[in-house]
Amino acid sequence: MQAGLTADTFAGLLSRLDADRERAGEKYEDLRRTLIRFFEWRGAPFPEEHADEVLNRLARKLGEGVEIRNVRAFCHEVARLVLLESAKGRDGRTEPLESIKFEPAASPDGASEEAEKELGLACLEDCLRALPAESAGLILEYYRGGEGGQIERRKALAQRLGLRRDALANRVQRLRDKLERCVSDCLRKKGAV
Amino acid sequence: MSDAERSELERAYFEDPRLFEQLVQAENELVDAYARELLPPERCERFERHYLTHPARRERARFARSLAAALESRGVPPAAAPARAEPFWRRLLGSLSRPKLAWAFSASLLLVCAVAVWFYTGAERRPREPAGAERATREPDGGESRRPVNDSGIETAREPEAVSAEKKKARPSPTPGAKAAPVVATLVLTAGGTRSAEAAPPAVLPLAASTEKVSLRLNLREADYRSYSAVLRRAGGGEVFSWRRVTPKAAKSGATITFAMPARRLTEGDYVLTLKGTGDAGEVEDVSVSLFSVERK
Repeated sequence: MQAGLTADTFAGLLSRLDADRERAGEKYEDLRRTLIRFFEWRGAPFPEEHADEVLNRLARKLGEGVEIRNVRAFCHEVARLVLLESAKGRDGRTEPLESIKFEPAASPDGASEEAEKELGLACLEDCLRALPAESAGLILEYYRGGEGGQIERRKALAQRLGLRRDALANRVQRLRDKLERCVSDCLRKKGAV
Repeated sequence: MSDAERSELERAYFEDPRLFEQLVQAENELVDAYARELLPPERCERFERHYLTHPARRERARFARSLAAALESRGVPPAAAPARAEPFWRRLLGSLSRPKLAWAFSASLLLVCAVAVWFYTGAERRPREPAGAERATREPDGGESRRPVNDSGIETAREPEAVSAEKKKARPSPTPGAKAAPVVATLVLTAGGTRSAEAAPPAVLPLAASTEKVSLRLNLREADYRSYSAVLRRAGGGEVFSWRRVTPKAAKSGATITFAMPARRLTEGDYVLTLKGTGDAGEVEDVSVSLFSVERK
């Protein structure tokens, strides 16, 4: 549950997403993920915080008894509003977008580049070990190259797992997102970010 | 891409989680190509100058490098071997310099994603064949006819000629006053294959003002779904036309589906034709996505 939400409000949000608690949780994560990417793709400085703000507003509206027929469409509109507020610096927390100049990554010299690469790899290996062996194997298998076409290889993998191809792609994408978060945390702990 | 088109795309991916997943996967493909050093130098420089300006995106690129390194350390090459993947990304990024697309590589990742999807899906063509357009079409009897086809794989003919150009020669001239058959432009596309197809520019469909109908002929390697449907969209935009329960015709190798539509529905721009197949259990899958550009003459 996010900060700023009561347990009741959060429960109301989940039940609006799906009557089944587990499915509701999945839908909540999907929606949050979409919101994060929306803000990231729009160049907002704090995508996760903005996404949570949208979900907070949605939950509050539901708590007030407002009927929302299409939750995802509603979230899109609120996200645009939050983005606008952020751009104008109205949320009192972020700087206006136009005042933020992201700099291109500095080009590391050869030695530090190598060290950075090794650190990244070490973190990824740690994160892969932390995953269930089946999941780690799946993501490596999915992204491996080699003989044969990529589509055919992934089609065969999907058949072997009894999944549709898009279901396989979604499953791998979630694993990739999870791994990315894990590696980012790991690098942050090691002071590399 | 205009603000309106961008908003439309955002609305679409909020409402359609599958489209969102496609965008995310397209982004991954772009980042993986960068991490594996498959982008040509000038494209790579553009990527660094624009994509890597956001901290979250830098982390994503860093992760992609680690993933590629992890695969290499296990003795398996990462997906998208350079020889195949480079042309795909050359197409992706090369297209950005096309003034008509007006999709310059900007700081907006959304823009990159929209274009990435457009090419990502459009690149799913059979390898080692001219991507986008085939030079020869097959007659119903399985024989191969060589019709005049321009560089983009376009046949332009009055409707009866689209059936058989040769027969026209033996046909008497139309009687004065008889209603002329509509002018039909046919674009032949090839679906299926790997996404790391060989490089080729997107097919171009030139449409004259006199063209009344457009026929999109999609060649499939196999037709193993119970039924098919298709949607034509403007790239990064809304639906233009759709077809339900279309039936492929068997060809000597694979099958062919022909989609007809009024030419007036196509303005100048870029289009994505998505073919969906419904399996025996009722599940619907994207079978292929083809791209082409319309140029109004």
